[in-house]
Amino acid sequence: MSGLQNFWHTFFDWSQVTAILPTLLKVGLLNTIVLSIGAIVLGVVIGMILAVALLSSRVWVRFPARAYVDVFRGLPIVLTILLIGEGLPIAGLHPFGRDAYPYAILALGVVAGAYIAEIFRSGIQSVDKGQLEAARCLGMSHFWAMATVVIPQGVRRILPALANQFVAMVKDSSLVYLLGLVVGQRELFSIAQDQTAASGSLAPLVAAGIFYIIITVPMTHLVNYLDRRLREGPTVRAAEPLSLPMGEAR
Amino acid sequence: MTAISEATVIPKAVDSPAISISHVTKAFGPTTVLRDVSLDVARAETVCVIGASGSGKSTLLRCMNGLERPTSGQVVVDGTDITAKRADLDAVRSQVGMVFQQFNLFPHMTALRNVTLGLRRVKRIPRSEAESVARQRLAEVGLAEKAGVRPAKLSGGQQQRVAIARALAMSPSIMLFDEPTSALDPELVKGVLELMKGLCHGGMTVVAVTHEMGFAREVADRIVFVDGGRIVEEGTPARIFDDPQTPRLREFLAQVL
Repeated sequence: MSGLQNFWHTFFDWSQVTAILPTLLKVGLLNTIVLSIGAIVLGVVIGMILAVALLSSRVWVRFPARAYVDVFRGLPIVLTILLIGEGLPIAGLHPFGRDAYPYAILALGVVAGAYIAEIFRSGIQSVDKGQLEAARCLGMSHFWAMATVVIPQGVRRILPALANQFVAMVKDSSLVYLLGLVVGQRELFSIAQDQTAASGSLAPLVAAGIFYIIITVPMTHLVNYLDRRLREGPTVRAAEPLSLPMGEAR
Repeated sequence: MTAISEATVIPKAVDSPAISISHVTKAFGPTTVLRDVSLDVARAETVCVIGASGSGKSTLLRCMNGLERPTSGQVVVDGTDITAKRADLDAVRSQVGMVFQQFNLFPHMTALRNVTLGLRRVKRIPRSEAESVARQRLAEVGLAEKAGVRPAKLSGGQQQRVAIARALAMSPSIMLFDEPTSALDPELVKGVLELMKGLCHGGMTVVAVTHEMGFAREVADRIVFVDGGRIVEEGTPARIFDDPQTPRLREFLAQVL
């Protein structure tokens, strides 16, 4: 009985939760969302460029992309965050000044790019070769054939995998607490972590966890919904918007 | 850009062939698929390419619009050497329609958008105009009412007719058919063949790889028999079907007729 009470007290101490809730809501949630979206945007751009490079017939284009993907998928994300967030400034590179926040986004985006590249590559490769041929036979350039015919079909197939990746990135954004963000920049996990260190109760972490679920569960369902609509919808206009990020990536 | 560098343009004589293939060899790795093949196709001529599967006939066709690049030899289409290093393949391809065995319609687009895509992206025709051209082409293949339907909801025969409309919408001067009826149920073959016959009689330059011997005999000006990567025999349908010269062709005909 006392065991259960201890458990309850450690993880679900309501006073701890109410103490931290305002900060989680006002500061943590926003920062987690900003970090995640920043990393997702950066990761998608990097992933798109890498995917195209991975599919190149030229070895000198394909090889560096392959090396990037292998290295950043192979390293623990914690190490990459430290290498970029601590390592760049130590090496004398301060592209974003002393502020840890942009380094955090860069680190998350760099890792995500490696995973997203493989997702995009598999999606593009899953599209029948005849599709590209048919588009090229109309006189379309390789770029336009990819942008209007191949990629829109590939992206549809990878939506679930991409959603998994985005969910993972929201959760991985918690690891940037390692970089020691200043007060106003702390995301959900750092705030909870500080409170836990101060109080000894794990309830703040549980409270933060609930926020992660509040973010990630709707994401999963939104993507499932989009996935269904793309499959069944009568007039899909995915080709135009999807060609845009590709255009910027080049 | 459709500018073609001076060097690759061969002066167009009225009687110059639509397609001129000279001494083309094509190897995929260690496998040689075409061996020193030469073939001229005149304007408005209908040439049917026949032969067993694996004989190289599809590869020969695919060399005619640069889907395959010959290992050696030259391919000149409509006066443009498409085997030249700097050849503008896109410009040539917009003049050469291709119809595939597996249709290769774009499954994420309606029939109408399949047909308008090339008009809009390649010919830069405004949407409303492209759609009116596309609707007319779909009507010509008997599918006016299917404009808003996606390929998955069409039968194989209908899909292939949309694919033909898609190719014709670009107003090509040459049409290439790669076994266009081989993937169709027998009862759907006729509609597609009728369409092709109309094109052949309408003055289009047509090269068709086909297993439909009846069709070849009826519409072809010339039949080319490919075996082992070589053109073994060519001639009028009467000569090929009624008076085959080589044992290989006699053997082949005995199997397919």
